[in-house]
Amino acid sequence: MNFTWIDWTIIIVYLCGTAGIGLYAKRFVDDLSGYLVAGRRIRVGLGTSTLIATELGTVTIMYMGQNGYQNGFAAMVVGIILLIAYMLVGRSGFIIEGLRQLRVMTIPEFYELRYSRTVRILGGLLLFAGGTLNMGVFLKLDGIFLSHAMGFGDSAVAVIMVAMLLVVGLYTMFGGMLSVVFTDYMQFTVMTFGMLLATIFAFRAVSLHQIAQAVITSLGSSGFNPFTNDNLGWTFVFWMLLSNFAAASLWAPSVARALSAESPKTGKRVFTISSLTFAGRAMIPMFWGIIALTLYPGLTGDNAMAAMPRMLSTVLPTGVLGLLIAGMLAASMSTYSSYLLAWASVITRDVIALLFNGRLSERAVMNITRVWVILIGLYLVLFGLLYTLPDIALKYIYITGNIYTAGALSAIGFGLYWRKANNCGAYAALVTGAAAPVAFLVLSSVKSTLPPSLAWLVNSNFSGFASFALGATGMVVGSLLTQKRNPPKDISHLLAKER
Amino acid sequence: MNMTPVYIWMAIFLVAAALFWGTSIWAVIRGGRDVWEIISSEVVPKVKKKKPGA
Repeated sequence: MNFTWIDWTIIIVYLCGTAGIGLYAKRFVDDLSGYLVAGRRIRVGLGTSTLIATELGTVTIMYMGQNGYQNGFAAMVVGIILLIAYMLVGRSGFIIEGLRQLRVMTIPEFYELRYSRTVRILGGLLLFAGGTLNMGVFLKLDGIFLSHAMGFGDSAVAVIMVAMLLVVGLYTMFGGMLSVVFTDYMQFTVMTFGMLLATIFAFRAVSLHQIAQAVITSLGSSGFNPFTNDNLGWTFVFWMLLSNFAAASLWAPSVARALSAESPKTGKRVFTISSLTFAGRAMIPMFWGIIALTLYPGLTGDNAMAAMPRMLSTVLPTGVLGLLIAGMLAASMSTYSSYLLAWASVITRDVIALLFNGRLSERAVMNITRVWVILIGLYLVLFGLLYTLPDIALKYIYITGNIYTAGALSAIGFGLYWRKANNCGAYAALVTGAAAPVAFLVLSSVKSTLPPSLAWLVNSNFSGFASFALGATGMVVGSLLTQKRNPPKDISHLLAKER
Repeated sequence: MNMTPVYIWMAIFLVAAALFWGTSIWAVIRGGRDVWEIISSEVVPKVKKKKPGA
């Protein structure tokens, strides 16, 4: 085992430093806008580093690594899709520019502005449901990574899960977005250098010829061609393209970076520059997964998931392992803090506060948000320990995200750019968009009892792709059929051309 | 063994990795400057103002 007291020292020093900075930044948070969108003070460099940090957690490394292990080089098509999707959103400003111009603090606020309060509550509930289900596996995957990378095997997964949550919960509850952006920055720096060293050492452990041999032996030509790979294919590629385009423009934790930017133009630049890292964000851990496949072929289930961290624990020298694990903890903490804050603020501001009809003070909203941070944290531990994934982690992450993104892409996209979008269209888009992913998750648990003619319902590629088609159809049909009864609201005067 | 698909994917991987670390290092440097500006221009005066009353 390469993990020694030197690595422990690096991690402990790092954790204390990060928690200290998070708590220090709390002193500068004195109102809700400081707590949620960092007082809109974020410039391009800081916005870029924190957006990359938010989107690069240990969970990302794990599900991308597992995909690399199970699908070889063909998995890397996801990296190309991510680059295209984020670049398109950054260059066009699709949705993010409009939301920043409207100066909304969370995405569901847009629903009320453009549609109605009940659409906002429904949108908030779906966002919360999709977001928390999506986040449910984070802690488990992180626990597996850390436990195996540290050489404990499966024995320490639960303890690591609880310990991580405690540290993250502390500074997220007390610091809010400003503390998140400061700690994100520090974590991003450690992660960048940790990943670079890990890639160099992992690549030195095997030759290119050995890698090629392992992929061909385990996967054949489907290890190189995503379109002939049974787990991937054309439907998967189109689903990923739509999902990532929707996630780039709508996924609350990353869109928070655009909403906290000092101007709409800065928000667009942050996305464009960050997009350059998104292919690497997927492909680097996938490459680690392929090296794990080379060293430990033939594993399945949780063992396949643990292959990549197990590989890192054996090929990385003492010190580098500590730095990488500190970086991974860093990445997880920044992801958790952003996600916890995003989902807690959605359920508080967009559902609970509305049910109280605006009678809650700003201080009360902040305190309720903090309580939700704790509740979501507890849920993460229970869900991580009890739930079994219906498919590979990457597909689970995307399909749960689709509960929200599929309907929201139509409700917000059409809402911003189509005058005829109305209340009924928004309801229809949100409900029909969520239908296919929910059906997939429910039916997956009774998969063995389904007749073969209904097997397509538990195909994640099909369900994910269908959710976007259903969401768009719901919006167009719902709006066009009810134009007279529900005339659309005009918000064009609110879209000030702030640059 | 046909190594061509491996070389193609490795070339794509290296471009993606170069973009990742190139952009990340740029963001580390620019982000550091932004953090310093926030602390020195907005946060520090706020703390100084609060201290007498504290």
